[in-house]
Amino acid sequence: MGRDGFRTALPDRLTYAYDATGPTSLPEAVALPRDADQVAQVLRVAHRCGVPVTPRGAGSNLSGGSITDGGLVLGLARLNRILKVDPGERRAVVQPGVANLDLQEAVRLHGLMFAPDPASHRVSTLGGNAAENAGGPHCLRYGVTAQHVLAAEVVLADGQALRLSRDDPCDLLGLCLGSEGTLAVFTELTVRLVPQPRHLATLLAAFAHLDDAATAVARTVAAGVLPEAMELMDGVAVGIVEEVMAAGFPATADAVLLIELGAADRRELPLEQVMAICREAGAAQVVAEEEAARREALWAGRRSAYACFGKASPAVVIQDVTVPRDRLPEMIQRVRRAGERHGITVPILAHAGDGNLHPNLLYDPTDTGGVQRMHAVEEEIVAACLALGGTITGEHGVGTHKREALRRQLAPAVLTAMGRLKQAFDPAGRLNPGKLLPDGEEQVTDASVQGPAGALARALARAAEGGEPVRVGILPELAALDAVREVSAGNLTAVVEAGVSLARLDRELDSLFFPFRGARESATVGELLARGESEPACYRYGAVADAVLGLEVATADGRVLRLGGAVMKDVAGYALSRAFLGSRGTLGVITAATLRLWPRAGAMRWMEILPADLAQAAELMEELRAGEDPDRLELTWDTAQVRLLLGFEGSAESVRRRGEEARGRLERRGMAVQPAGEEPQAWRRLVDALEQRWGGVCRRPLDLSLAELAVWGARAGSQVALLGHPGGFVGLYPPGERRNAPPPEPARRLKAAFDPRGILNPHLGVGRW
Amino acid sequence: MVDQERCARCGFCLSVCPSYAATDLERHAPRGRLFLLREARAGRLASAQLAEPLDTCLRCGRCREVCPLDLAVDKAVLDRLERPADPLWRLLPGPGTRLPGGLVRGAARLTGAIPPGMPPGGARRLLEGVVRRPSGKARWRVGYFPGCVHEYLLPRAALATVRVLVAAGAAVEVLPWGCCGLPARSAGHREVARRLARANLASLPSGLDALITDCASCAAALLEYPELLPEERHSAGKMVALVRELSAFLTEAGALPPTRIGRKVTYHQPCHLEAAWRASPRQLLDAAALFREAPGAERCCGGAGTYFLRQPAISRRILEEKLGGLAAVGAEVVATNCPSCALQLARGVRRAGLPFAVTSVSEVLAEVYG
Repeated sequence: MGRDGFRTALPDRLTYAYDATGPTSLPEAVALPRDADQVAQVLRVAHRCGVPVTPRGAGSNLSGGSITDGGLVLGLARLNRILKVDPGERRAVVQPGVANLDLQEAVRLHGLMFAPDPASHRVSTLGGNAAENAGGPHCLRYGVTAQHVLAAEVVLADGQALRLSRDDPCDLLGLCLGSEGTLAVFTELTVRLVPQPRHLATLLAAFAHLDDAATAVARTVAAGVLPEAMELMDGVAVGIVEEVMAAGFPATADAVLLIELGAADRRELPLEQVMAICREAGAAQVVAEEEAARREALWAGRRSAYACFGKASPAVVIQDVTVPRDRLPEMIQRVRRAGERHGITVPILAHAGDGNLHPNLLYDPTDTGGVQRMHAVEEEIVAACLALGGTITGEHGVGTHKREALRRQLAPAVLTAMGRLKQAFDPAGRLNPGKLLPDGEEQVTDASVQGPAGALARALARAAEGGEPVRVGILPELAALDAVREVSAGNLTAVVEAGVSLARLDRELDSLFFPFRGARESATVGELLARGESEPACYRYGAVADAVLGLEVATADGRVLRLGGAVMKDVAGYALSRAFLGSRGTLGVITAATLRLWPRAGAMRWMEILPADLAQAAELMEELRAGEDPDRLELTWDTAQVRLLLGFEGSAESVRRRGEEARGRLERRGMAVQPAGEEPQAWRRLVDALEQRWGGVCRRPLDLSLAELAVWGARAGSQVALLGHPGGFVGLYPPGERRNAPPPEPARRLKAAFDPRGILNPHLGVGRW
Repeated sequence: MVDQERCARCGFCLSVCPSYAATDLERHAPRGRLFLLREARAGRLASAQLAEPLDTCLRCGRCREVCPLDLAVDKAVLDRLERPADPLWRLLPGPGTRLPGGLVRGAARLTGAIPPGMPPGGARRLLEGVVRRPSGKARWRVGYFPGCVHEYLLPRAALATVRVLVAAGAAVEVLPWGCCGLPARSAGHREVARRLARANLASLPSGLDALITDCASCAAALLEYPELLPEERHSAGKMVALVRELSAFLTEAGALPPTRIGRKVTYHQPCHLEAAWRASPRQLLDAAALFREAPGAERCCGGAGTYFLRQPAISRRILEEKLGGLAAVGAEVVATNCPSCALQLARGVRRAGLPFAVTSVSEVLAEVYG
C-alpha cells in the first residue's frame, strides 16, 4: 500500500479521529488501501490479529459511525474511480470512495442522474451513502440509496470477498445497505441511474400558518403529483436565514415550501395544478421559476440554511426524526413547544413529502445550563416522534449517537434478532464495533402475541420442537391472516395480513393503488413478499421489497417480530426485513406487512407488440426508452413466440399522448401495435404454460443488457424461456437445473440462527431457487 | 484568528482542496489541518509534527470559498506559520530596487522554474518609468503593476498587457513598485511583507483611474493591504478601490476585442483570482478566439509559488490531474492570468509532451487588439 498507505504517526491518527459530529476518538492506526485486494488483505490481517476495524469514506456522517476507539481505521478514499458508465442500461460501476457529486457530474451529460442526493453530496462517498442508506430531497420521488444499488462487491470482517446482487435468493446486499459498516465493507458498487427530467420548475410558497403548508403537501401527494423534491422550512428557520443572508423569504412566513416539479414533456409539468393547491391551502405568496439560474436562486435560501444556522449559533445539533407523513405538522408543533419550554431555538427543515424532519438545536457548548436544556429538548423530540409512530432516524443512521435510544424504538426481540444478523456476518464482532446495536443482552419477555400471527408463531415453535418440516406456503394458520388491518390515505400506506389476496386488496384500496400483481391470479400478499419475484410493475415501481415499509414475521422460536413501521425512510437499526423478503419462507413466515401505496392513476393504456425475434424485441425496447419511458415494458419469450407488453399510466391526457407517441415510433419501424383493453397477462400465461410443460418452473434473474439479449437467446437452447424488462430479465428453466453456487457464509449462518432445526421449507434449502 | 472550534467538520473543504485530491490523506485537507492546529494549541500535538501538514497547504484559498461557516483555513495556516524572517528574505526588491535580471533568470532555469522552450522575451527596461500613450486622446490613465514573476521571468506577457491597454485607449504608466509581498507573507514573514507593502503604497502615483495587474496572485496580495497595514488602512483602501485585474478592467470599460482569431483557446483559472473577476477572462477569450471551457478549468495547477520546489511530489500529482482536464478539451493554447501558474503549466506540458502552448491571456488579446 506504499509508505503512506499505513499510518501510525500522531497527525494521521488525530485526523482520523473525527467525523462530522462532535466526539473524537483516537485510532491505533490508519490503513488506506488502493484497491479491493488490499482492502481484503487489511481485513484478513486485522482479523488474524484481533484488531477491530472501522471503515470510513469521507467521514461526513452525522451519527458518529466513522470513529473508532483504539482500532484500525480503514479509509476507502483511495478507491475513488468511476469504473464504468453505461447510459443505455442506466447503470454505473463505481469504487466506494467516489464522491456522490462526482458521479452526478460524470453522468449528467448523458441526461442521467444518481437519485440519492444528500446535503453532503459534494464530499460524502458512495460507499458511505450505501452504508448509511443515505436520503436527500430527491428520495421522495425516487427512493433512498438502497433502491439504487443493484449489486456490489463486499469484503467481510475476516477478509472474505463476495459478489452480491439484490436479485440473490437471500438478499445479503439488502441487509448490508444501511448497515453502517458493521456487516461488510463495500469495495465496488453497481448503481442505478435515472433519467433527468427534461423540464423542471421550482415553486416557492410562503404560508402564514404551518398547518396550511402541511395541507398543501398532503393535497399535492393525494392529487397524484410526486414532486422531484418538496422541502419545508418552518418560520424559525426562515427567520434565521433571512437575518443571516437576506434570501428574500417573506419575513412573516410561518412556513415556506420549496417544491420542485419535473417532467419529460413541458405540458406534463403540473405547475398550475400545484400552484393552485398552494393558493387554495392559504399560501400568502407563490412564486414559480423554470429557468435554471432563477430556480437556483429560489433554492439558495434552503441550501444555505445549515450554514446560516452555523453562523447564528456557536453549535448546532441536528436531529433526524421521521414520522408518518400525515403526522408531520403535529410533530413540528411538538418540536416547537419543546423548544419554547426549555428556551432553545429550534429551526426546522423537513423533507415534507417523506415526513422526515431535521430539528436543528442551537446552543452554546460553553454554557452548561444551555447544554442541559438542549439535551432536554432532544429527549422530548425523540419521545414525541416515537409517540407518533415514527423512527428516531430516517437518514443519518444510528452510529454511536443513537444506540441507546434504539432501545426505545425497537422491541427486545427485534434487537436480539438484529444481533443474530450481526453475528451471521461478523461472528468475532470486530467490524466497526460499538455502532448501531446497543451493547448487552436484551431482556426478551416471552409474552404471548395475540391473534392469528401469534397462533402461527406458536405452531412454528411446536414444529421446531418436534423437528417436523413445515411447508410454509400451505400453513393452515395463514388462512386466518386475512385482514386488511388499516389503510391510511394520508400516509399512503396499508397494513395488510399475509393471507389477503392481491386482487382483493386492489378492490379494497379504491382510489389508492398497490401496483404489484403477483405471479398468479390468486396470489396473496404473503406469497408476493416471500417470493420477491420481478414482474412488469417493477419497471416503474422498483423491487417489491422496496415497497414494504414494515414487516411482521413469525420465527421458528415462536416469536413475532415487528420490523420497520409506517414511515417512508427508516434507518434505525438493520433493514432486517430484507432477510425475510424474497427468501421464500426459509427464515421466517411473513404474517403481515405495511405496504407503500400510490394514488391510483386516472387512466391506463395497454398495448401488445409481436416482434419477430429477440433481436428485434431488443431494438424496439431501446427505441421506446429513447423517447419517454413507458410505465410497463415487459418482454415474454419462449422459443416459439416473442411478445412485448407496453403500458402507460397517468392522467388521461398524458396516457393518450405518450401512447400515441410510442405507437408512432413503433409504426415507423414497421411494427403493428395491438391495443389491449385490459392488462395483458402474457407474463403470467407463460409461467403457467411452462409449469404445465415442465412440471414446475425455476426462475433465475439474469444480468443481461438489451444488447446481449439476442446472443443469449441464440445460445440458450430449447429448455428455456425469458421474461422481464430492461434491467430485470429473468430466465425460466425446468426444475432441477443446478445453476446456483452454494450459498455464501452469512446466508448459511442466518439460516442456522433463525431456523436452527431447519424446519422452514427445507425442500428449498438456503439460497437455492 | 480563525476560530478553530467553529469547524463543524462537514468536510466540504475536502472536495476542493488540491493537496487532499493529490494524496487522499486527511492531514492534507483543510479540515484536518484545522483540527491539528487545535490539538497543537491544546498541547496534544508537538509543533514539529504540525510542520508537514501546514507546509503542504498551497494557500490557494479554495476551502474558504466552500466552507459553510466561511472559515478562512488558509489564513489560519498562514497565521500559524508566522515567524521572524531570516535575512535572505530582505532580498525581495522594494520600489526602485532591482535584482540582476540575468542572475534571477539563471537561478530560475537551474531550479527548473522556467522550462526550456519558454523564452522570457524582452527586458524590463523597456517598461520601466515610461508612460505609454495611445494615438489620439487617452480615455483613461492607468497604472500597471506587472509583478515580479512577469518582470523577471516572463516580461513578454507584461509587454503584451501594455500593448493591449494602449490599443484600448489607455495611457499606461508602469508603476515603480517592488514585490507585492505575497511570497514573504506565504512563508510566514509578515514583517517583510508589511515593509514592502508600505513602500509600494508610498510610491503610488496620484491621479490614476485604475491600477491594473495581470497577475492574480499579486492582485490578491494588493487586496489584502488594508488588513496587512491596519495603521494605513485609509490609503490602502483607496489603492484597493483602484485595483482591477486586466480582463475585468477591459470588460468594465467596454473595450472588447475588435476581432477574433481562429485559434482554439482554453483558460486556466488561477486559485487566487477574485470571484468577481472570473467571468471576464473567459468572456474576452471567447470574443477574441475560439474558446472552449476545459473540465477542471478552476482546478489548482499545483505551482503555488515555491510549492513546486518544496513539495514536488504533491505538486506533480496536482499538475497531472490538471493537465488531464486541459488536454481533454482539444485546445491549441492554454491562456491564464497568473505567470506563476503559467510557468507551472508550461513545466508540466513540456514534461508530458502535450501538444498545446501555455501563454498569458494578455498575449492572446494582444493578437486581436493590436
